[in-house]
Amino acid sequence: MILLLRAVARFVVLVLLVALALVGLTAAVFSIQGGDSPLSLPGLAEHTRLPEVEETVGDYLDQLEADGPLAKISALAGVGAVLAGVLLLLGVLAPRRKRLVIFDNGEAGRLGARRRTLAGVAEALAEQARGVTQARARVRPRGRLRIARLRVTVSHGRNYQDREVEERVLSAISPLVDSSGLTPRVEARVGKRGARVE
Amino acid sequence: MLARTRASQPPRPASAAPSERAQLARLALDAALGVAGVVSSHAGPQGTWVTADREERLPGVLATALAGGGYGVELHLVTEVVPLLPLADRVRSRVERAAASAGLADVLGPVDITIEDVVTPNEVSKR
Repeated sequence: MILLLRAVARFVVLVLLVALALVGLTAAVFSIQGGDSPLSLPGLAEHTRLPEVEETVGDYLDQLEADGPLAKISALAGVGAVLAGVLLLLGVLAPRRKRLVIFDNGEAGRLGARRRTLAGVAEALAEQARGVTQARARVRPRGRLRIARLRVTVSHGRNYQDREVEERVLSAISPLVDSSGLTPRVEARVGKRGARVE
Repeated sequence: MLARTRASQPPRPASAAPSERAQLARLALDAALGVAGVVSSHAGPQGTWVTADREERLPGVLATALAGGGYGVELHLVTEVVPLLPLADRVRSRVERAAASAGLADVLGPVDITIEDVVTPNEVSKR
């Protein structure tokens, strides 16, 4: 969702910047001459039929002031515009997901690893555990507790207990956990009907 | 084709000796690749983690000037499944030793290490 909002916000920013540049260029060109000359600001107003637009907008505002369907539609459009603005702000301001897990950050330098890499290794190791048919791993970077978490969800066959599979998976991923200081959490469940078998 | 292009170029002046920055990047990369558990360096998906040293490109290492003087080194590495914190310590101490023996210890800043990929022993043997 945030990715989509970010993409839309970028597109809107691009369109607005291009429009702003074009408006600025037009204003600059029509500032070359003065008075009623063709390349003057009054000339630009004439080209864009500004007096007619003023009349149209005036009529619209008159209708808006009065009670009626137009006022309701305009109010709804206003609410929609506010919502769209809030969503665009979210797209611009929402923090990006951290791709790196930082294990150590001292004067000597920083040590980090890609979340996806760590998750991939955890999945590969977990799938080597006896009874595991499928593994999914997610790594969450350090939060307030300064601990990076590794969550591994595994599926297993019906002839194994959750607890024993969890212990085997914990043991299988221990090389990664010991090497990186990740806090593991393993959840085992029986695979769904039709899922992979060992 | 490349050789022909090079042959037609005028001889390089003596000032084309490697810069301190490039020297530091090269020795850091060589030192890191010599550590057991480090498989290779990683230039990044767009090849942006690269330091140019005259006509050569050093993949997976960046040496950047620091505001207070000296250079920070950034290493992007592919490793085996080994304890990462001790590995980082070994890489740093080896880089520091290499910088000291090259007379660049004074300009070496922090050494940042990013593990870009971890490979299993099977994958290592395939490489």
